[in-house]
Amino acid sequence: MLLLGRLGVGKTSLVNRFVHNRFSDTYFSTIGVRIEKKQVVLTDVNMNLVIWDIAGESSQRNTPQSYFLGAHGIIYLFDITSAVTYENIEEEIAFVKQKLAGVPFVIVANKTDLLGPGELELLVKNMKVKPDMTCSAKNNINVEPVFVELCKLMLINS
Amino acid sequence: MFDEKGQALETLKAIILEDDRKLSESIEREINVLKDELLEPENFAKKVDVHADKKIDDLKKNFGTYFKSELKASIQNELKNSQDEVINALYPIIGKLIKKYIRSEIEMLTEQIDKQINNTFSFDLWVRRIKAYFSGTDSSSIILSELNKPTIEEVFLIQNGSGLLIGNASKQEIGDKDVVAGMLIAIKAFVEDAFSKQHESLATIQYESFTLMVQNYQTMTIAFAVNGVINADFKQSIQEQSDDYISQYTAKVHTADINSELQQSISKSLAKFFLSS
Repeated sequence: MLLLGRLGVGKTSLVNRFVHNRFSDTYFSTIGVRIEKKQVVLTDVNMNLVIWDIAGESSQRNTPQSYFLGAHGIIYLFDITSAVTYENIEEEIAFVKQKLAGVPFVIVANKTDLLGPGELELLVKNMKVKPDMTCSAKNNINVEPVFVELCKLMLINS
Repeated sequence: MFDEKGQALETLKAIILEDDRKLSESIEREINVLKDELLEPENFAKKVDVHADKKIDDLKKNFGTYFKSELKASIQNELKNSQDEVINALYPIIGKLIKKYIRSEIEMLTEQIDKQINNTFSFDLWVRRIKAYFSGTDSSSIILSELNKPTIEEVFLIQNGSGLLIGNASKQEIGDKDVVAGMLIAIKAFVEDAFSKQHESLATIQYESFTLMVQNYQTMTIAFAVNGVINADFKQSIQEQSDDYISQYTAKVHTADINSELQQSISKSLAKFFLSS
């Protein structure tokens, strides 16, 4: 499973929260790739997830293309409070989908903990490409459902 | 009176219809013969077999001509679909043949050189070797490798691209094998991309007394964790063993179907093949 997105959107935090149930406010930029593993139990299936947390890039065209090979599912993460992280989202997603045609894809907005009441709905309403799900790695809101949702799509796809 | 007329009519009928009667009898005879030939399987087979055999012989001789385009398309399609399996099957064999030839040539050359050196410089050679041993140059690595023979501690069989672990064998419990497998493929991919070496593959990751040796194949990678000092002989042996393993055990590994059953089976074969000695 690939975790993609621009620099600083919270990919590593999301993985740390999901795998280790940890969060840190200190920011360390991921270099290259980090790999984590977690077992997910769906209704009657155990899935071993190997998660590739790819270093953030301004464009996915800058990501080493060989990282895309063999992926069975993608989470594209952006920061809901930073428009820069989703301004070119259409192009980015089109590029990734072209590289990995037919692979299940979930668009997720992170850092919902930084928004006030009603702000989330307003922001999502005005987006050209709406996220499939929203979450907060910091407050552990909706983190596991993101991965579970992708697992279900990967299972159907397989 | 009527009898006479009737008889005369019958006679007349017989005379007039004589030819028709003969014709119908002959047709009936023909039909019976045909029935016998067509409906009796043995007789029918005798008639048909000759022509069928001729046709079959013609097909055999000219099969290539008649079905050239269909055969070509079918073979191309099969090769296209089985490209990975074909390459996986051929790669070890071709590699082995080339290595065997090169090794044999190098052995002959080495023998000739050794003979020459021993005949001309034998005493000096020993002095040099001892000096080299104390000063730590190449000759010492030969001696050290004899003292610290390389041993395989762990083996990983990994799917290229995804980095999924197909199987693993280990002399001791290690950490998370799936993460190790994934990271190894990620490192390979990173190095190959960063240094624009798409046509070359990562071969070794070297620590002080521990080496990760990587054997690359079309759809799979075998990685060995080796303790000890590695020499050329050992590298060659690893390569040959990997080629043998791939050709013997991985023909049925369809790289999309990694499940726990396959992992167990492959892990057992890896342990048996590489760690049992």
